Amino acid sequence: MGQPTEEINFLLLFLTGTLGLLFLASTLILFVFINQKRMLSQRNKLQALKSSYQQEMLKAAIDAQEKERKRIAEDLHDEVGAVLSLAKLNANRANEYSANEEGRRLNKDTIQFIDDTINNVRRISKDLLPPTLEEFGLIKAIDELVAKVRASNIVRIKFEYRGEFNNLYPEIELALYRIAQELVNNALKHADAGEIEIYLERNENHLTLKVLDDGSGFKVEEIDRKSTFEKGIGLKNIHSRVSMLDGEINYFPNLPKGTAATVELDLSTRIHK
Amino acid sequence: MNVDFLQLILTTSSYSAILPLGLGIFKWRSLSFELKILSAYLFLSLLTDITTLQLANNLINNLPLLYVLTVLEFALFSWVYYNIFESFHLKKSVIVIAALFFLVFVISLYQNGVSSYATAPRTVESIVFTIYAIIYFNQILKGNHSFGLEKDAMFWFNGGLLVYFAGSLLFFSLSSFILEHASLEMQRKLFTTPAILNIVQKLLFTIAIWVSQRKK
Ligand SMILES: Nc1ncnc2c1ncn2[C@@H]1O[C@H](COP(=O)(O)OP(=O)(O)OP(=O)(O)O)[C@@H](O)[C@H]1O
Ligand SMILES: [Mg+2]
Repeated sequence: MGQPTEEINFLLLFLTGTLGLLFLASTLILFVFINQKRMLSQRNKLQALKSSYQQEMLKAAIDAQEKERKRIAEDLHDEVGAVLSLAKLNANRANEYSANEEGRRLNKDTIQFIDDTINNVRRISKDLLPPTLEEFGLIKAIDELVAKVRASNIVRIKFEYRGEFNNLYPEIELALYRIAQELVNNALKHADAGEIEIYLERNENHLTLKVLDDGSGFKVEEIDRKSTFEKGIGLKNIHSRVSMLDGEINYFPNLPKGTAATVELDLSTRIHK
Repeated sequence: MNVDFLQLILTTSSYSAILPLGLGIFKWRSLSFELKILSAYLFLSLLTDITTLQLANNLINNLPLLYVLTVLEFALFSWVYYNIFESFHLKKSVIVIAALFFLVFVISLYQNGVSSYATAPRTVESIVFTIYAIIYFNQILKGNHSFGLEKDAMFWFNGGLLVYFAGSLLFFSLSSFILEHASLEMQRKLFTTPAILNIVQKLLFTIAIWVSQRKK
């Protein structure tokens, strides 16, 4: 080098080369950035599609389940119930034709059995399809559930509510009722509790259902670890119903012992449906 | 070109590691392992840069320091890539290439002496990390990142390396030639190239540390 023109030429060449390489590098970085953005948004769209599809599946499954329950409840009531009433009538009449003491005693027992069964059938079909819920709404239905538990004299049970519950959508009412029912059933079945409390609270569009017991308590992770064979379907059903409503369910250990299950729903997302 | 302007760039470049290093120390507890390595590198880099500047001001040849920085830099960045490459083969290659690099380093040192410009090591280093950066970008595109790259510290780190090494490649490979043949004035001008790129790199490293979050 040494000559000024040569130096200028070298400088130009050097700058061109370096800028060229820099340009390539920045293009590459930009390309990676933009491409990844595009891929990400595509994947997010797919995810959203998938989860809305899953929600619909869930809703369909739960609807089907409710429909099936309704059918069974109606069949039980109409077919089995009707035949049982007839059977009772016949047994009563048979009593008149029975001449000996032993026959009458057997007949009386039979009538008692039939009566018990009629009551059971009515109870089961009511459990399957709580008529109170459809006619008088969520609060009355839970009241009835509480009364039934109280009558059994196994635990003390309390139900309190705050807010307006008359204008809930039927699907939300039903879901909340089923969830409360299963949570109470679980507390009765597994917790060995002395006390159960149910709280229902609504604040504008925010709804909370809480079921507490002072029983043995449990860890959700441990339930998750159980094999499907051992697992019940109660918690799973609750989960399905809650996620169908875009809500959230949490199980907290209650202090000093027991379980506090809380369901939270945001009703505003439901109103526009 | 204004002489003071060149001096300003060189000085800024020497201190440019302060920004990311300060941020790294501030966020130290929440940094990922790779970013801790990066912070360690920034500390060493700041140390050598300032020493280099001091030596130059005291008219002492500072080129040996470049050898020191180069070998440390290569080791630390290789360590980062060893961690962030997912493929087992790539991890193994990083180790093998580091060993080969060390060979080049020793030979170059033996042939040219510590007072020469570390031309061969710098050139090889530039090529290696440019390739690593491209491979890593490929890994990003193939993998399924669940968040945008603007929040990915390693994306910015990688960008910093790519810009610096791709941009300096010509300078490094021609460095001996430049020192031998170009006029002193020209040398001064050309030496601002890595200095500017160094500032850009440190800025990108700052972003990397800035956006980093504790995983999970
Ligand atoms: N309130 C509770 N206190 C203590 N353990 C509970 C409570 N609720 C649930 N569990 C535990 O969680 C498990 C899962 O409950 P889940 O309702 O899913 O099934 P299940 O009640 O056993 O069966 P299913 O509801 O299908 O009749 C129960 O077996 C029980 O061990
Ligand atoms: Mg259950």
